[in-house]
Amino acid sequence: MNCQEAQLQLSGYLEKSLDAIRMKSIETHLSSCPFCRAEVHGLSDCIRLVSDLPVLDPPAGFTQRVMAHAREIELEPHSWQRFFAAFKVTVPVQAAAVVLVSVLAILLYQRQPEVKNIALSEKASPAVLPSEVEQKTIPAAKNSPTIASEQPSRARNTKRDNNDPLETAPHPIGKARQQSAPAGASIKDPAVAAAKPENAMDKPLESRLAPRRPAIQAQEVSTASDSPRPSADALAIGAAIGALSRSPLRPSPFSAETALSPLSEPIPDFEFVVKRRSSARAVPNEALRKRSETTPVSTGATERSAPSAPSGPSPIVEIRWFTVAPEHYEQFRKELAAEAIIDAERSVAAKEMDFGLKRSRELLIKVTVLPSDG
Amino acid sequence: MASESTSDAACVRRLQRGDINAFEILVRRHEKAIFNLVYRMLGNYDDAAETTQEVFLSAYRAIGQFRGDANFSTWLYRIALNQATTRRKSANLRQKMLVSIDGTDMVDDAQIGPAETLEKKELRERVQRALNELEPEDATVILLRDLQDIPYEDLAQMLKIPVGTVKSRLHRARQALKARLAAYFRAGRKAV
Repeated sequence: MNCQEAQLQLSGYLEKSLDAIRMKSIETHLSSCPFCRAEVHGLSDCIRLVSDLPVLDPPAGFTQRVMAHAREIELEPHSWQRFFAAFKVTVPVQAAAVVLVSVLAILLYQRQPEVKNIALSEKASPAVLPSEVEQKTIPAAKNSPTIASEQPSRARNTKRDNNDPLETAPHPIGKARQQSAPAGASIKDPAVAAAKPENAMDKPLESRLAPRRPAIQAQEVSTASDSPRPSADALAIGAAIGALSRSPLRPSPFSAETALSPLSEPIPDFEFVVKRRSSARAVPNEALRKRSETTPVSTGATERSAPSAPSGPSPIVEIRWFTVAPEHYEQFRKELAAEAIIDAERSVAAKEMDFGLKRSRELLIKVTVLPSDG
Repeated sequence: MASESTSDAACVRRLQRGDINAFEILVRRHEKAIFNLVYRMLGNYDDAAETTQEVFLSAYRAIGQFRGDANFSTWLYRIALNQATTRRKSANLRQKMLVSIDGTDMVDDAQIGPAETLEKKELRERVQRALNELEPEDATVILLRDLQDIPYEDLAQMLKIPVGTVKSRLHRARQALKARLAAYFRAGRKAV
């Protein structure tokens, strides 16, 4: 080993980090080379001098100062946090909310035609509709009206039990929604209560789509489901209604209450004041009368809601509400005339102003029934 | 709650989750070593204290970027070396370093006499001055190996060079330091 080779390994020799063979060869070289021996002494002194340097303590309170500064610093986030932080900066919450609302609106818009399509297909399909009507109306016809009122057909029965305060106001947008929403059904009714879960998916959508009419007290709507029971109809106009049983009827927009509030009565599209024909006078059946959506009202309320009705000694016995498709109005009127004597007929002027709108929905008809002269 | 016995890695994880108490543990654990390294790199006590504080605060700010590939101490040493080297390279500080005899390296050995105490003090100041005169990378490798006793493998990771390069650089740095202290060695041998 020469001096150049030895000096390259002197640091390792001093640290004893060389293998035994190299250590031995360097020792052999150092024993015979005073120059390299002096070099080893010099390096050894350097290592010792540096390692002998005293270890100093940091200034007093150093940790506290560092921590005080650190608490004033907001930690830099992780790389993934920085990634998402960029979105936070560029997409504020308001913008995200706008996007969310837009998406929901599109979804609702896309689902609305589906609901309409269901209604249209049911309306247009004669094979389905009659059977459906039969299925839903026959049980009600078979049962006594009282029972029928306790177990209303979920799809068709839009009658309201006046005494049921738990009824909610349904929407006026057609049969499909009648089926999905148990219109006129009492929540107390176990049959309806059992039917509620299967409609749970439809109801929120309907409630969003359907503009709710305000709940109006002490009013009812007769629908086609009532008509197959002419004998049960105390007013003897069930046949007229029955003729309209397959017309799309608007469900009752009213909640059932016993008292009629002058402020809450809806404005009908047409008003009729009729007298019973003496031949059509059915045997009064108190149970049926109660069932057939009749509501005794005060004279004052009647005069307000039907000012054209003849005032006189004969009291008004009933007020009935109907919803009829515009194209069936004339038919309704004829059959009403066949069943009762029309004393007065009035089309509400204010409502006629939006006739264009009226054509697109169903007509609300108020029939005030007076006792027969005979 | 982090305690003094918690490992560096666990403290770092806690700190990354926002537990600032974990950082305090790390500061207490490493402040002395980092301060002494920086002090020997700079040769000035106040500058060393200020720089060491910056080292820890830099580590605190960047703790989110620490992925745990290396030991926390290795990462912290790298920050310290960068900060100290930058500070050392400033011309202003270099001027201060040349005249820096701040009396910090006090000799507290009660068994030696005043003359020997003075001689030791003078020797330490010479060594410090020689270190100040070295190239930063030479001073760094000497201080890390001979003062801090850091293994070659860790040095290689810290300096991002192979172990063989660390050894050759260390040998060259020691020879440079020996050359700076040659006058002292000659005088000492003559005195002896």
